[in-house]
Parts: sequence; C-alpha cells; structure tokens
Amino acid sequence: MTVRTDARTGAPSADGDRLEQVWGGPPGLRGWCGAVNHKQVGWRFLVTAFVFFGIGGIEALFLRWQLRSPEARSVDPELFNALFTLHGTTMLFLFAIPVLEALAVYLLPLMLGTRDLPFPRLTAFGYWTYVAGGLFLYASFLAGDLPDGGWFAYVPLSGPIYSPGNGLDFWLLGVTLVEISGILAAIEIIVLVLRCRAPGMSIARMPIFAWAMLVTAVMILFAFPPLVVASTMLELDRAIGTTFYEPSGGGDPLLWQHLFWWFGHPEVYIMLIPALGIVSSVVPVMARSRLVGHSLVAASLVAIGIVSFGLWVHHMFTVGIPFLGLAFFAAGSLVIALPNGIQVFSWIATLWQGRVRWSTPLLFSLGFLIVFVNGGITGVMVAAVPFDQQVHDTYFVVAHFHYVILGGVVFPVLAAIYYWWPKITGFQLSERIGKLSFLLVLLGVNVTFFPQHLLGLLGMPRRVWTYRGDQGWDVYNALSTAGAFLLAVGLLLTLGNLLWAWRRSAPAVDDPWGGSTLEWSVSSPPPPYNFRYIPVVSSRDPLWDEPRDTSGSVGRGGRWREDLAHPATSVRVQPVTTAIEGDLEDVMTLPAFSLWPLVTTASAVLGLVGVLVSAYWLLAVGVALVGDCLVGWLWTRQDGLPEAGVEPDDTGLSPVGSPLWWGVATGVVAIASAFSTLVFAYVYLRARAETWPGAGVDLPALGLPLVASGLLLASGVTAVVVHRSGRLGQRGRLQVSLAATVVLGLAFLAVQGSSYAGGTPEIGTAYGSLFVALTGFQHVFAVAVAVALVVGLVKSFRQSSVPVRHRVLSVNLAMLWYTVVALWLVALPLAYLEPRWT
Amino acid sequence: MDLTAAPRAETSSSFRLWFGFLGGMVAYALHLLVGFWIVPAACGTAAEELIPWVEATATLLFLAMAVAATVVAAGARRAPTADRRTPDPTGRTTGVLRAWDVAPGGSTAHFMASTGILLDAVAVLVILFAAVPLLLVTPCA
Repeated sequence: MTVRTDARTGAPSADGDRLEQVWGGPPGLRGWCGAVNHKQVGWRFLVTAFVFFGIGGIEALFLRWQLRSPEARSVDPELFNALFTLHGTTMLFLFAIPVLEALAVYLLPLMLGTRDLPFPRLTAFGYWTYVAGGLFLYASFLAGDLPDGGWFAYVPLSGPIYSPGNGLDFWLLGVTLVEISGILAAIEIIVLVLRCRAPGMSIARMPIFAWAMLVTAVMILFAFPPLVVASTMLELDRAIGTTFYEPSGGGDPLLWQHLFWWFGHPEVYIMLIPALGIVSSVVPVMARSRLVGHSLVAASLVAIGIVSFGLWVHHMFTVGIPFLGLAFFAAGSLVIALPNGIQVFSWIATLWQGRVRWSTPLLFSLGFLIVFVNGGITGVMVAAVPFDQQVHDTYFVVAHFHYVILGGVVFPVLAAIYYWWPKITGFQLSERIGKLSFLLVLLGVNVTFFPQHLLGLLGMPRRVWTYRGDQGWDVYNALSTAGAFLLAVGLLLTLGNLLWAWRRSAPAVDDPWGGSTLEWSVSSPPPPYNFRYIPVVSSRDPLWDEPRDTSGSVGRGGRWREDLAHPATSVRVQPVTTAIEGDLEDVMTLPAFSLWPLVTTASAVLGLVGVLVSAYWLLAVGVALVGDCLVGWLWTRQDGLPEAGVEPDDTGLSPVGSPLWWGVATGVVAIASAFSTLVFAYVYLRARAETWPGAGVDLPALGLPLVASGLLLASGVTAVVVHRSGRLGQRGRLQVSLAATVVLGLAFLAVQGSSYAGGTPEIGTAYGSLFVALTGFQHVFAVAVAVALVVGLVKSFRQSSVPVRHRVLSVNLAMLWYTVVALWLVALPLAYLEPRWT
Repeated sequence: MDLTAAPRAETSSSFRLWFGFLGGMVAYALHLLVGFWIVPAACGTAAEELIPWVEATATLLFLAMAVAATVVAAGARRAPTADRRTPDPTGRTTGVLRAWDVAPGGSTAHFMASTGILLDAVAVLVILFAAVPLLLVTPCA
C-alpha cells in the first residue's frame, strides 16, 4: 500500500482519515458524556482537580483570616471546625491525588508511545466516581450539616455519639467514592505501564515519570482499599450500630488510627512520588543533560514506595505503644530520607553537568527542592520519638506537613503545568508571568508556614479556633495570614497566565523545550490517536538519541506499524508489549464510547443517598441498578465507529496474560487488600479483647455453613473447568461448567442465607460486627461475580464458536470465582471456627 | 497482523535476578511485621521474657536475607551484559556516576541488578536501625 503523508506530522491522505475518525469519538452532549479517551478524561480530571484546589484554597484563606489576630470573631467555632475538615479533605482527597492521576492519565500514554489507557471505560468510571465523591462531600453544605471531624476523622469524635448528625456520613461516603476512583486509576496505570509501552521500551528505558506512577499505583492498591473498608466500617458503626470502634461493644478507637494511617502515611508518598517523577522529567530537559543516576532514581522511588508502608505508626507515637514497637517506625522514618536524598543529589548533579535554561518549570522544580527539603528536615525531626511527643498536635506539625505537601505536590504540579501546558493545549504560557508567580508562591509559602514552626514550638495547638493576646502568638499568626494571601496572589497569577494563553498566546510548537520523551514527538495538542506510527525505541531518551523519519515518528518497525497507522477496520487498536522487556507481543482493541461509566456512578450515588437518609429501599434500588449496569457493561462494548459493525474478536491475544487478565489480577489484589483489612481488624480486636466472642454472645450454627462451604468448593472445581475450557475454546464444556459454577454459587448463597435466618451474632459486639463484615464482604463479591458469570454464560450462546474475547472473559471470570472461594476459606475459620476454639 | 518484524530483547526472568532486585525489601517487610507485632502480642503474657530473643533472631534472619540479596544483586551486576558496551551518546556523564548508572540503551538485567543493590542496601540499613533500640529499651516499656 502506498501511503502519502504530510512530511512533518505524518498527517494522512484519504485512507488515513479513518484513524482520525475512529479515535475522534461521537460529537454532542451524548458524545461528551460517553467519552472514554485518556486525553478527554485526563483533561476533565485536571480541570476538576483545580476547581477543588480553588475551593480548598478559599477555605484556607477563611481559616487564616480567623487566626490573623487574637480573639477574632470572623468565623464561628463550628464553621471553623468544618472549614479545616473540608480544607484538609479537599486538598488531600480531591486535589492532590486526582491532579497527579490527571497528569498520569493524560500524559502517560503519550510518554509511553501508545494510544490510550488499556481500559478506557474504567478511566471514565474513575472520573465520574471522583466527581460524585466531591459532590457528596460538598452536598453537606446543602444539607446544612458539615463534616467537622478533621481530615483524619478520628473516632470516637467521628463516631455516632460525638458526631450524631449527617456531616460525617457525607465525609465518609464522599471519601470512599474518591478512594474507589483512585483504585480504578491505579489498575489502569499498572496495566498501562506494564503492558502497553512502545515496543523496545524495557523497564530500563522507561521514563522516570512512568516509574513514579507505577510505584504510586502499586502503593494505591495496598493503601486505598484498607481506607475504603475502614470508612465503611465507621459508616456501619454510625448507621446500623456495629461496634468496630466502640469500646463498650468490644471495639477499639485505635483500630481506626491503625487503618487510617496504614493508608495515610503511604498517602503522603502517593502524592510525593509522582511529583518526584515530574521533577525528574523537567530537570534533565531544562539542564539539557541526561538525568544523572537514572537507575538510582528509579530504585529510590521503589524504595520510598515500600518503606513508606512501614511508617504508619509514625503518626501514633503518643498513643501508648511500647517503645520497642515504635523503634521500627522511627527507623523507617529516618532511613526513608536516604532515597529521597539520592534524588535531590541526582537533580543537583544533573543541573551541575548541564547547560541550564532558567525557565518557569525549572524554577518551580527548584522551589520544590527548597520547600520540600525543609519539610523533609522537620520530618526527620518528628521521626525522633521524644521530639514528636513534644510537638505532637501543635502548629509545628502543621508547618511540617504543609512544607511537605506544598513543596511535594503544589510546586511540582505547577512545574508540570508550565512544562506540559503547551503540549496539552497547544498554547505557550507567558514566562514573565510564570516567573513572577513563582516568586510570589515561593515567598508566600515560606511567609505562611515558616512562622508556624515557631508557633508550634511556642505551644500553639493545631485546630484552635482562636487564642488569647498574651501568649506571644499574635505576630507569627499575623505574618502567616499575610503569607497566605501572598500565596493566593501568586497562584491567581498562574491562573491568569492560563487564561491569557488561551486568548492571546501564539500556538505552541510541538517540542518547545527540546524534550527527550515521546510525548514531544507529536503535535501540540496531540491528535486523538496520539501516534500515527507507533514509536519503536531503543533508548531511554528516544528523542535525543534516535533519528526520526520524515513523518516525525521514532524508530523503525515492520508491517505491523503500517497496519496500525492505516487500519483496515474502524476499530481502535494499540500494541501490547511484554511487561519487563517491552517486546511487541500483540495488539488489543479498545472501546471508543460508553455511557455505562456515568450511569453506573449515578446508580451507586442513588444507593449511597439511601444510606445517608436511612432509606434502605433506595439503597436496594441503587444496588439493583448497579447490578444492571454491570450486566450492560459486560454485554455491550463499542470498539469503533458504530456504523462499522465490526466485532473485533480475532486479535490473537492469549487469554492468560492479556491486558484484561492483568487488569483483573490487579483488581483481585485490591480485593485481597481490602479483605485483609477485615482480617487484620479481627486479629487486632480479638487480641485486645478480654473475653471473646464476649459474654452472652451466641455463636452461629455451623451445620449449614459447612454444607454451603462444600457447595462453594465444588463450584471452585467447576471454575477450574471454566478456566481450561475457556482457554482452549471448548464451547460445550465452557457452557456446562459456567452453568454449574453459577448454580453451585447461587446454592452456596442460598444455604448461607437460610443459615442466617436461624440467627446471627449480635452486631452490637465486636465479634458480631466482624462476623457481618467478613461474611458480608464475601457474599457481596460472590453476588457480583455470579452476575458476571451469568452474563458470560448467556454470551456464550450467542456465537457458534468461542471468540478470542470470550475466551479471555472466561479465564478472568474463573479467576474471580477462585477469589470468591479463597475469601470464604479465610472468612469461614474466622467467623465460625475461631470463636469456638476459645 | 504480522508481528515478526518487532524487536525482541533478552528475557530477564531468573529467580536470582528477582531475588537481588526485591529480596532486601521483602526481608525488611517481614522484619517489620514480625518485629512490631510480637511486642503487643507478647507484652503482658508469659512470653514477655522471650521478646528480646525473638527480636534478635528475627533481626539476624532477615538481615542475612537482605545481605544475601545485596550480594546476589552485586553478582548479577558484575555479569557481562550487552549494555556495558553501549556508549553514552552525549558523552557527558563521567566518573563514578557513569560507572554506576546503566547506559541509556542498557539491558534490563543490568538495570534490575543496579537498582536491586540500592533497594537491598536501604533494607539492610533500616533493619539495622530498627534493631538498635533492642539494646537500649525494655521491650514492654
């Protein structure tokens, strides 16, 4: 086939227009609601995150205005409590993580040389879930019942006794939705980075930003599910009277602290690590030199990711844990400074050996260096147990974490905006305004937060509404308030810069900075399909090292590149590569449009509103609709233009090891992580209980659950047959085994249901609460997978053979059913057998 | 679709390589879990007196694992690989850092070994740091 292309952009001739059409998506409101492409969703994530940043910033200004002078009365104490709760929650849950996810969702496919994320509908679902979480939180304004328990919602303050209204329920449900959104993004990113890189891009050649996002995503998989479970447990305490955290029922408030900080400390690094990746992207380009110690920087990210999980008790130095136990966390808190330091020295060395261009992105990166290193130093100070016990819950800690978070997130995000804005929008930002904004932000941050160290050392507790004039705190507070407004002006200048660029700036060139990574090889803004010719790389800095052909694409390839550049069908297609070496393995097709993500989110919100207003019929409706959406999601998939009518099954993908298999396996890890939280809660409360399962608690009968377990184990065997027959494409055996698995699974649920009719342990006890949680979790998951199995079964009757996609689906359904069985094998001994041994 | 013209690289799936890459961090995680949870579990019980011995044993065991991972990673790094002959196209990175870092076109095995050494070293350090209070603090204080 002779292909005529534009010399610079590789723009297509007539046959090439198909690529543009396939990746363009449908127009209009329906098209907008059903958009799933990574650039559309990433852009929405970015804009929404900045809207929340603005809201959180306004709340911060109110807080500082109240504290500007002693005994001020600008804000009443109740509103002050709500404002610091909303400020912290908004900045951490609705801005910091989502903005970094937004950058990853938008930029990673471009940086890795591919066309989209592997599960576009999941990307869109994550976005809508995030929006719903934010709306849930701020709907508390409409209800006139604001959450006021602080961003970490410690119990018993946030429990049903001390926070009886709905404010904390808004908080818990909103945060849970946002966390689920984070988990979905993590699954996307892991599979993208491991399976959808440009051919030739081994892990040794991956950009540091991709390394950073991979580490972050894996961390999210282990950090966020525990918070989802912990906040659901708290909501159950509040809504139906379970006692996970209520001491009078055998619960323990410290359990919340363990679970929250198991999430909360890694969360700091979940925010920081992508930011480190941003700085490692900006510094070499602005220094016009390779990143010094690329391997060490990648290793540092991995080290930070792992060690950060060993620090959660770092926030609990004052709760009475034996000193020897604390030592493990103090050691981790001190040592984690080393991998951070490696990166700082890497950037300094890179700048040292390069020819530096003092652009705004670099200035914000250096601002990060200054502010974050200061936050890191105070972090090492509070890692020392005796010092922490002195400054715990004072303004010193407020100053420390604002230095870390503003330094570690806001400066790098601003660097990223100034660096990638031309690529994303096609407009160059003003360097002059950018530099002025940088100066004001740097000054503002230090004037706001440096005095807070002194306030903390002088004894000012955090979260106080006001203070007396004779405590020596007034000057530092006034200074801090002035700094906050200076910071706001600096940030507004950047906002003005973005708006100015939109209206007045000249179009940006494709590669304004002379970048080294693949996103700079495409036009600004990128075309819908990202790369007409999929790049093939053999270097870590492909745009610096590798010659480009006349179309501007990187590397050479065979016939497959031409096929992907000039597709024969109207289907979205991108390559699949091996996880470690980045060898081209296959191609995958991608959905082009779907309304299911939006409809599923709306259904879930409906159910959660039912929880909020204690209308459990509404919850039932919401759950039923979500189930309906799950069926629709699995049933329909539109991978190209609707008029094409193509069912792109024969991609040649192997069922095991396909991107979907990786996605499901990653999801199973998230499920296991969530369920482990319940197991931990059981072991923790069991170990601390004086009597177990508690005086007067009736143990559930064992007969029917043992029968149910037998049925479930039998369904596990039939699931093995589903796996094998699905893999081999044996249609008859697949149908029989799927049907058997469904029947046995439903029988298991039915027998379990009848066993509950005979009575369950009292939920007003820790054991009873855990019984409900362990069995309930497994049953809900079993029902969801059973619905998917039924869909798989019905679909298998639609075709005479077993198409490749259905083989993939079958293998993954089997994997999910194995998980159902495995969860029960853990839940059964804990819920039924263990209490009998005591 | 014809995929035969696609580039293929060497595979890096040996247990040795992965042990060198992540062995130290696995040792660190296990040391933390065992070391931390043994304290609240045993304090106030008849097993309280055994805490220092259990802690010391766990420390030695997991320290040995982390050191072994470091040695394995160092061995893998010394093994000849194609990338060491790959010149740095810019020619700017020199000295110790050049010697340490994997060349930009470098092999995966060499990269995993190099990064593994750092990960294992951090693990050794944090296990040692966490063990120091064992000499100074009464376990259940």
